[in-house]
Amino acid sequence: MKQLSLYFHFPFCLKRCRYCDFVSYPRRDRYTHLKYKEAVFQEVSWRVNEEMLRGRELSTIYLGGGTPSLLFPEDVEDILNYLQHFFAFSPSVEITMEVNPETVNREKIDSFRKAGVNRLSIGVQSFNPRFLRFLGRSSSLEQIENLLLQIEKVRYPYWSVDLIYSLPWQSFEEWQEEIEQVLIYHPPHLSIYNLTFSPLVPLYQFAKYHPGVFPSPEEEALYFEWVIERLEKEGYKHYEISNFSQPGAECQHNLNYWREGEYLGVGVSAWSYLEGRRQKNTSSLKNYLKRIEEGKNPLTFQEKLESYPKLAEDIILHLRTEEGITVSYLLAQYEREKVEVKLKCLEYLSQEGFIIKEGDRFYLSKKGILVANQIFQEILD
Amino acid sequence: MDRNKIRNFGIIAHIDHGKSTLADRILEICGAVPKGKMKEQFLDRMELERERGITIKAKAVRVEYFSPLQKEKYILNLIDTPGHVDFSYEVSRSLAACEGVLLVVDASQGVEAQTLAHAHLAISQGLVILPVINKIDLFSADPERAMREVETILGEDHLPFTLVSAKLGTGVEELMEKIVQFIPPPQVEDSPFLRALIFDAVYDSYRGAIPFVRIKEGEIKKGMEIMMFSTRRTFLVSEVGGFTPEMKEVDSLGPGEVGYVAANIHHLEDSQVGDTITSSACPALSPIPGYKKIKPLVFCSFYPVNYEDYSKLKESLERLQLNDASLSFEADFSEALGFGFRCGFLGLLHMDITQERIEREFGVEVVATAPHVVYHVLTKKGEVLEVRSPRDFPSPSEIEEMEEPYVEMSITLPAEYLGGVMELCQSRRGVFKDMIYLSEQLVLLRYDLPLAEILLDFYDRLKAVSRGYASLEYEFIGYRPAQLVRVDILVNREMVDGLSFISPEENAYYRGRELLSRLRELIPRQLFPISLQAAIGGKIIAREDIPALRKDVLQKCYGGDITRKRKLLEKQKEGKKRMKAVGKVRIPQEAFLAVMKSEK
Repeated sequence: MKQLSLYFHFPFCLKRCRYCDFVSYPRRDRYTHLKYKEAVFQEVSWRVNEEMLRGRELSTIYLGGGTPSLLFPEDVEDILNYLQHFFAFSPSVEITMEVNPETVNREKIDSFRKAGVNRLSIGVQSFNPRFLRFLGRSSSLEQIENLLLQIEKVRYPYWSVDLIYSLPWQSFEEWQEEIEQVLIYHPPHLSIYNLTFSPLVPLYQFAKYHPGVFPSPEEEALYFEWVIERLEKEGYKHYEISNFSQPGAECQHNLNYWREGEYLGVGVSAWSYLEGRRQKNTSSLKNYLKRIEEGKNPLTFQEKLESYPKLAEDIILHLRTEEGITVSYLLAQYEREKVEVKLKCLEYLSQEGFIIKEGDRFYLSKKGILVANQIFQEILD
Repeated sequence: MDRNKIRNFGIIAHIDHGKSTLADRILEICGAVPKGKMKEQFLDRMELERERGITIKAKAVRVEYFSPLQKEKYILNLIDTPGHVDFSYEVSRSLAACEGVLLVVDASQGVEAQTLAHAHLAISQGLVILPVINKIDLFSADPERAMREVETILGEDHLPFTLVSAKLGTGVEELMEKIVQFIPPPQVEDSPFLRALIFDAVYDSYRGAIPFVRIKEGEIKKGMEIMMFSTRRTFLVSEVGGFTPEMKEVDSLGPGEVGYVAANIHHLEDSQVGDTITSSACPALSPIPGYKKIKPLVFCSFYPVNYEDYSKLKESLERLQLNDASLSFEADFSEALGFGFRCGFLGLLHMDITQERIEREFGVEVVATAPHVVYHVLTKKGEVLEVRSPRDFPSPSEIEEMEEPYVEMSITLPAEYLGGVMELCQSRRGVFKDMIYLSEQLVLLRYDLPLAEILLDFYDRLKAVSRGYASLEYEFIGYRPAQLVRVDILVNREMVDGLSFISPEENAYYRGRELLSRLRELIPRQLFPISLQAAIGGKIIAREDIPALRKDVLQKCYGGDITRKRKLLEKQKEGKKRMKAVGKVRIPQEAFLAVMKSEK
């Protein structure tokens, strides 16, 4: 039986951050949170039946948001118990929860751990108060530091810190300082991304009118190259474009996305990938609740990829990771003729030094990682 | 009809000096248009004309005027003339249908370059000029100064000035009296041979092309067979009539009269402005002098923004051509823009108006390339080539001589801006001719300039250096020797066809560099470094480099939202597919447009 992941979207925050385009509402009242949780439970039971998922083994569970750490530990316990009615949990199940420092204390993270959560993904983003304010984060530097000090004492086998770079007037030294700060706490896992804006976020306009305040692509490249080198020196593996981990601490949930594994997403705006179909729930909380109440499925989008575009997507997703893609995997999944067209493209890119070929495996070179978008476009049809 | 009671006249003026408003007042006084029905500026029928406040095509109106002073009734034929330099040939033909003109000058603006050009056209036709100082109601009006300037340009004192406010109607009655008093009735030689001058034409979907004529000699009536002098084609007249201002049938048109002729003329080319109509049974020996086949001077290509609109664009050009014989077009293809049409125009305004009409009246969005001229190249083999595009430019070793079109440019400007304007003309390869002070403040400056230099951004630059006060007028004066070179652009050492351009040798280096620096901005950075070179023959004259793209990576890829990420990549890829591939390099459409557009 194929493994399955589950994503639970919790669409509430204390307030919205200026750069964030995930679906989230600044609602903190417990009544709303509980009502939402019940609606998702309803959805889970329907989806399990519809997709005939009952009894499948969950290898990972991810509570994302939003700010799921606004939930009470008993809610989390409740959620995990509920899921166990339908699914078997793998013995090595990874249960991740996104945490924002302003919403937790030592006691709370302790209780999350007891409820079953075994991995925390901590939204730090920056150790510089100037950048925290710019991004519109709700947490203070003090709250961040407190949490990071506590987490070592609570026995989480896995945890991760998110950091953002390419911030306004961010100097190379400031960026180096961010990394040195985080390394003090020895996080097993780090996610590092450059600030990007979707047109939906308030900072988009700012970025459009003031492009000059952000580091140039050259500077960004420098920052990124430096961080790869620095973290490798500390024993981290650059196992995916934006992710670094100590050996064995990779995020299994995200790896499943990049390996084209199956997942069920529940809650507002959640995506699922089942039997080669990509599905999406409505992005509006109101519609979501209404549809559940009316006994209707909250899906608003579904596509079944033809095998040819799926082949390109498969290669692109795999290339995000350090392990890359193997010829034998492709030949096992797709028609030889179509695979060969793509192989030609990969060969060409490897001659140009963007991809490294090792035996029957292709993966992005350091040079290729920096321009991955361009490489992916070459691979697309 | 008593010929002595006919007055044929036109109105000439600079844009916005109030020509159409004055015409409206005249029509009102003569009762041609009831006051209530009067739309502002009756003569400007086309929406676009009304919007731009200019007359594109000549019109004619016939009205009756009872003079209280003479106690007589007169027939006035008011022949409206286009107000813009691009249409100076049409203006001259309209004037050829008149005995006199009203020269309208704005009392606050004074004489402008166009006033002068038109006045000279009128003088050269031997017409009586009645100067009219308009807008005297304006606070800033200085009629004294305007009158002095008019005297200077006409070289005459004691002109019969009329001070009017066409807007308020002040002075218009006085002007009417002057029209019947000073403008002579048509001089007619008694000749049995029909000679009628075509001064305008419209296209009617039922009746075909309908020429507007001024009868010089003879008579034209329904049922007779006529012949066009230039084409020698014959037609049977189905109707003749006058303008009231609506077309109204009459029995016949006699000497001195103005009207229209419907004769089932299917093509506008058989009804060319300036041509002479005669009787096929009894043709005149010679046509009325002054006819020229109009040759377009300025060319540019129109491409539909959406490829599917190609046939719609073709249809709209065909339709416009029915009413505009000076518009020419032929199919064209561009590396970057696909299929379109290379069009020929009388000038820049003509081009702008045509583009606007296509977009507005036919709903086709077009991309227009920058206007350019036609060069003449004499090859060593003795052939004369008309070079319309860099593609057709022969290699330097085959060229014996080259020529480019020149214009005589008249600029009127306040004296304080003289320095800046002269500098501009010199920098555009201008050859100074003369300079006249029209009054203490106003100077008339004349230069011979290559037309190609004007097509760039001359008008904008002129307005900039004179703070909007200078006005210009130019007239094509012929081809003159030129030193031209073709500049090629090499992208990663490969020549790109659509990026070559023709330049005067002396500017080639500067223009090559200028284009490269714009291309550097327009060609997105790619996975490989790109070298851009400008070359003449095999010689590199400039170089720019576009470094390889250093970083482009979508780092955040979470929440399982793979579809959106893929679509984003697909969209970017789509954009790339639309670019032209030169070797490994992809060149966007804007880069090809840059070479055709003038510098910023």
